[in-house]
Amino acid sequence: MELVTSKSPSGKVGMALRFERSSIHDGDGFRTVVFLKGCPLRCLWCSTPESQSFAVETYGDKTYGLPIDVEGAMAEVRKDSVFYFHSGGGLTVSGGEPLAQAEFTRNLLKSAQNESINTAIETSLAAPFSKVEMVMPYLDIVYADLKLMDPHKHEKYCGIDNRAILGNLTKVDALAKNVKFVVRAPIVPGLNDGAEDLRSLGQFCAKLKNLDHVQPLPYHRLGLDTYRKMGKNYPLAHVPVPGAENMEAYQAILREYVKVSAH
Amino acid sequence: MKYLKRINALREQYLNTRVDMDVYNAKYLTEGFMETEGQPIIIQKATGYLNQCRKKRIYILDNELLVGGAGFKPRCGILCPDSSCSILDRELDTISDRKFDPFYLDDEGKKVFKRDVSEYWKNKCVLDRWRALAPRDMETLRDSGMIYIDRKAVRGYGETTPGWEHLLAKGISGIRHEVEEALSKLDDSRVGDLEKMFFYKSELLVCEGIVTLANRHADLASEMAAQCGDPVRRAELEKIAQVCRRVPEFPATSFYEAVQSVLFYEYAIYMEQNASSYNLGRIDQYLYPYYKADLDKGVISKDDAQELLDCLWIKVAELSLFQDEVTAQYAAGYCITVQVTAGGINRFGNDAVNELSYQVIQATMDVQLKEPNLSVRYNISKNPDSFLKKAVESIRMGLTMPAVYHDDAGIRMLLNKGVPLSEAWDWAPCGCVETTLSGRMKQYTDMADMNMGGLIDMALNDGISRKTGKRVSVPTGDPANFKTFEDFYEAVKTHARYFVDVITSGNQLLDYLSMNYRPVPALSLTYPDCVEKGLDYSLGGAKYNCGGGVITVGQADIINSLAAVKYLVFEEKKVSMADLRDALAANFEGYEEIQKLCLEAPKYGNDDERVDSLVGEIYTYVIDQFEKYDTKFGKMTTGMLPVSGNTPIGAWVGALPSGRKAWTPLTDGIGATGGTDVKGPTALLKSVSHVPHARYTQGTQLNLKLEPGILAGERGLTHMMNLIKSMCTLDVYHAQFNVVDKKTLLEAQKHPEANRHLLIRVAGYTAFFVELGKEVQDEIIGRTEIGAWN
Repeated sequence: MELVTSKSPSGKVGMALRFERSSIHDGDGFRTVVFLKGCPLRCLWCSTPESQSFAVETYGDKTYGLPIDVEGAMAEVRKDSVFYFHSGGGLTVSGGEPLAQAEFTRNLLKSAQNESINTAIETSLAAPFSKVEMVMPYLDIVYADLKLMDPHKHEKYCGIDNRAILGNLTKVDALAKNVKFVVRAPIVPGLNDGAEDLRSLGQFCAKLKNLDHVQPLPYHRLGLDTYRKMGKNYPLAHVPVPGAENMEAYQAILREYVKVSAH
Repeated sequence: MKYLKRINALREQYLNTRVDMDVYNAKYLTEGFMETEGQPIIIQKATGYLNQCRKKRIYILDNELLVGGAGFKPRCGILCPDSSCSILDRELDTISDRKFDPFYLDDEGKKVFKRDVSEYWKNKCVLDRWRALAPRDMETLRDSGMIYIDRKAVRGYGETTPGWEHLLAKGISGIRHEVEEALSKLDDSRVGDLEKMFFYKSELLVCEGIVTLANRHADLASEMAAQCGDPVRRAELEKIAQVCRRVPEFPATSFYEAVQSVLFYEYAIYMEQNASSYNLGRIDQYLYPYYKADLDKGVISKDDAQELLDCLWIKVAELSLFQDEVTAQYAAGYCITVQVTAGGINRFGNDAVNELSYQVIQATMDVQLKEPNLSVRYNISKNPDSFLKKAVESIRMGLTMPAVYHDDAGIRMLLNKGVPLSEAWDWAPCGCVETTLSGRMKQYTDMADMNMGGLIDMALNDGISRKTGKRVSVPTGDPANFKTFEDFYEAVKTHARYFVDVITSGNQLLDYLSMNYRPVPALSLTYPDCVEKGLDYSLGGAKYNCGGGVITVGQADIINSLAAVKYLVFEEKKVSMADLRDALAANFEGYEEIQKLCLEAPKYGNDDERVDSLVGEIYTYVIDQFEKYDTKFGKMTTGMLPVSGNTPIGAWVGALPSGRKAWTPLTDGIGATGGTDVKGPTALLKSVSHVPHARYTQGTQLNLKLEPGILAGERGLTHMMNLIKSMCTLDVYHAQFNVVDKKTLLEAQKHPEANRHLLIRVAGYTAFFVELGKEVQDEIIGRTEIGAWN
């Protein structure tokens, strides 16, 4: 497994994609999400194709990629401190894959924690465990993706197999005693929504002692316009979005094994 | 809920009622004036008023528990001929189907107006006098759209909150007794007493009028009861008769009586002066003792109380503000903006929320009409979360109500108006977003609009109107000669000083006219200081008097324009002043590159210091100028509350450095220009927090658009509550929340042109909704269903 890691080993500068303020989907309260650019995976359903490459990319009048130092990122994060205070929100580092820029991610999380800002990460855990270990002490919330249990399917749909990811999940669990640990499972109709897929995911998660809950994420096509802008083909354009009743059914299966929540 | 059956029926009845024009009040008032020709104007007014009360057509509708009305049928606009008779002279043939706020007037009405009203008021009504005396420079600025200043001449001045508690405790008879007592002590050989006698005599006449009108309703209810076959309705009518016989003449002894008393008086003052914003004020406070006593005694249930409150809401919504067609554009929708509020703190500085506070919010949730204008005084330190939650539940129904006030900012506005803290704690929101004190404060909060975009226009065109090509403001020279940003800024300030000066001269005239030709004896009744001093409200009898209020329109436009000039011309040097001047003169035609730069310059609403740093400075400058001027009632005051004035006033403003094209609307309230705030609600609130809110004592209005996702489910309530708490911590005075719901999005899909500024969040970024692909649009629309709350 070949992983691309940070271009800045000291972690002073990171490659950000964008900042999103007042997000309510990536942790408690109002969050400022720092999206980092670059990801080792190539999931077919990826809704942010502009986050995959580590390079600055330009398509028409739109440029993706913004090299930024920790202080620069913190200046942006700090702007919503009033909202964090009231809502219990804070910083969420997402991607791309934040662990692909683990040093930068660690430094950013550490700075936030120094200022009593709540911290979260959204990661695929597709990284060497040493990188995971590096960021864990600075996190209040971990959102870890678990896309597929079957290693072959994982390789087929995400570009790499999932053995390292599954191992990392177990190891994170061991470190997650004082951390809110959530597994996020994107559900893509036809790809991983079979009862078998869900059951084996449920069984795996049931073994994670510190897991707070599993959050099934309904597949969506909101990235379509970005694919278009980038001149890229979106292979799942024909896949229908699961309805509320489908999501209910998925949740029911998972609930046999683990706690499930939509948030 | 059983009571909702009645409420829904009343609501239907309301919605099916055409808005008519009433000219009969005008006829009876005129008769009274003619009968007392040569007497003091206040006696004439009171005599006419008594005649209105004796003769006006009255009615009781099916299902009604609360009764009364200002006009000859529900939802009428009424003409107060002493204010503005000539409007109807001009609009007699168009009033029934004009574009904004038509009022249906039948041939009989037209005949009555021409025969019995029109002639008497020629050159006599306040509007005609205003026109005759208007200063020339004021007319010039007005006629070039740089200010709008006729509002208080075309209708009465409301924007006040009567002394409700006083009315309920004393009854009209109690006040009448005080008047008689005071009158008996006067001596007409003593200087000053003669005028007091005129005042007190007029008070007695209006007391008689108000009581007579209530008793006529009691008689009608009795008659109807006698003829009613349905025993349930008969009992209701008998009860109505009994209540109307008692209030408002005597102190209220039950919740029912208290509510009917409030309603009668609300109509009474509206009949005296067709005016907006006779606010209901802190209704959860002054009705509470009656509510509590009735609940304790078991006289009513909570549902009974709710039913009465809901009835009150519908009856208040029956008032339709009549104004001329130009003014109607500035505040369309027949809006009388009667504000009613819940929450806040009491006179001990403690939490004032009680059970009734929740029911007040519930009333708006039940009736779902745009009036009364519901708000909450949210005191972040004292009010419970459950109260805020109730408010948020109503907001997310998509009603945009209640508006939420950061209580402490409102309190400071009152302090800044010269009210001591002990009384400032009792403040009540007024009209759109202004501030009042029940039974104690006189003001006109919106005597003029000042065109803030126009200041930029003037500075960049040497004081000449781009629309008319005529000089309307002082010369400030060719902008190409501005060598520094400060030079440009100084030109903007020069025009600001000139506008302020001209507006204030208009205010002095308005004060003169109001003091001499517009007495309000019925309103003065519930201002204890008026009765004590023997001085009408219009002459300054109230305890606190405020100088005329001026609305600044186009906050984001001036801020963004200042920032664009600073950034593009003087800091980054991307455009020369001369090129910018030419581009604006050409409305950017042939200068598309410059317009693009202008549009890309830093914009207010994104928590960007490059632009937000200018906000406090320019708005402090403007208020400082106004406060330099004294008036009969104190220093001039200001607010930021364009109702819909940003559209008509924008039609006079040329292209601006903000990138805005000529003649398009300015930005409403204190929000960001549509489509320029791309960083979400937290960033917007941060920008807005730079406004010096508490110095704009007539309030600052923020319309905040919310995406449905933020409000979905139980978590949505919490998010919203946290957003409001953050807003208070940031010291933002007011916000009104519009939910961008499924309906809005479908509408935008159908009419993309009209909705091109609608921003929506997509997979981690913000985009213009109409620019998204159809599939993505559909998916976003679909998402508004998930976790839906309705």
